[in-house]
Amino acid sequence: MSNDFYRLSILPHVAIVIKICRAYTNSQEDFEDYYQEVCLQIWRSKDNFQEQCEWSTWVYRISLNVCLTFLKKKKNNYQYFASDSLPEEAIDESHAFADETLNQLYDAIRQLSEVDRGVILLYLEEKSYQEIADITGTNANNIGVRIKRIKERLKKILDGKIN
Amino acid sequence: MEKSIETIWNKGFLDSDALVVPKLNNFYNQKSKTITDKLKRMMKINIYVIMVFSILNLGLYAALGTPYAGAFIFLLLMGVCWKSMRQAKTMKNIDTSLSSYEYLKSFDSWLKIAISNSTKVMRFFYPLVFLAALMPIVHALKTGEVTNAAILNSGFHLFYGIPTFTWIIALVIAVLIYVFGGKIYKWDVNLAYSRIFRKLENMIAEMDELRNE
Repeated sequence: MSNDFYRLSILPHVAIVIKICRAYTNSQEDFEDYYQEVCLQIWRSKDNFQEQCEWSTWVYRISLNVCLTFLKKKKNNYQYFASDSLPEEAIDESHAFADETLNQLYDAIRQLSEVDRGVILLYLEEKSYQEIADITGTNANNIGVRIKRIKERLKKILDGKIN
Repeated sequence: MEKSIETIWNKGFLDSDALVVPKLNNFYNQKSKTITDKLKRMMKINIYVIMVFSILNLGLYAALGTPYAGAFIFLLLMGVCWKSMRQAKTMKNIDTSLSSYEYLKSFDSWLKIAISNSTKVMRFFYPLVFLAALMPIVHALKTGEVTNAAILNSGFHLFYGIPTFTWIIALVIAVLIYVFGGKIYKWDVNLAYSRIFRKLENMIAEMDELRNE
């Protein structure tokens, strides 16, 4: 990967990649692996980019797809779709950010299903329902209802923690 | 909860230090860890291993006095390699930049087609290799003075210098291997990949629900 590509095409959108990778990982080591993988796949897929969508939307797609199908090597076995076992090991990511409330929100997001995690991250990034539907390949009409349910669930989780 | 999740999110990321960009370590030599790339690498390694094994096997069978059986197994293994290479090429169709639903669906379909094709091949491959693998034993029984004399004096009906009933037993086993070959292969695949299949199924089902609910 040329430094120019990383500097010009990835770094301006690095916040998206970091926010998504954080939601699918439960340790700093995993997070760095996921981040590296997303950057690698963005570079590899750059020739497939068609200007039908914005570059940032495209980065979202790749970041989500990579996080959904990432393999994390664990001891002698390959753990497929690593986020599968998050609750058992969710430890050090609880302190990934300086803002404690944000850490709690991330902990709550990590308790959602993979699909719901992607939907709520896009919502929090102020993507429209149509954009969320385009990125995830779902139906914009159903996104609103789903977001409402996810928010209720997050609120319950957060209330449980804060109280 | 005092604040809305939107407020927590926006306020949390207002701090410029909230997002620390990790360093890219040894990037040029990094191997991809997505499942599709991992499968590609596994298939490539498998093909190389099969090729090396089939050549060594050719020599081994020649040394055991059954070069034709060795050549037969060699051709079977080359057929498996050719099939795997064709299968690996179709994986290029899985594009990471598709929407998540399309990406997971195309990966799922690729996986199902790959397993179905391999099952068909393996159902024939297992019994044929089993029969070919018996040839050095047949050869040893026929060329060994003691064993050959014992067979000739046994009074059994012989076919190709070996009691016919043993051929029948071998054929029955080969037929059983053919019948259960698909199941054996699927069991083998499930052993390694059942978690992926389950996870994929769940994610696609959830997305289907989100598309149709």
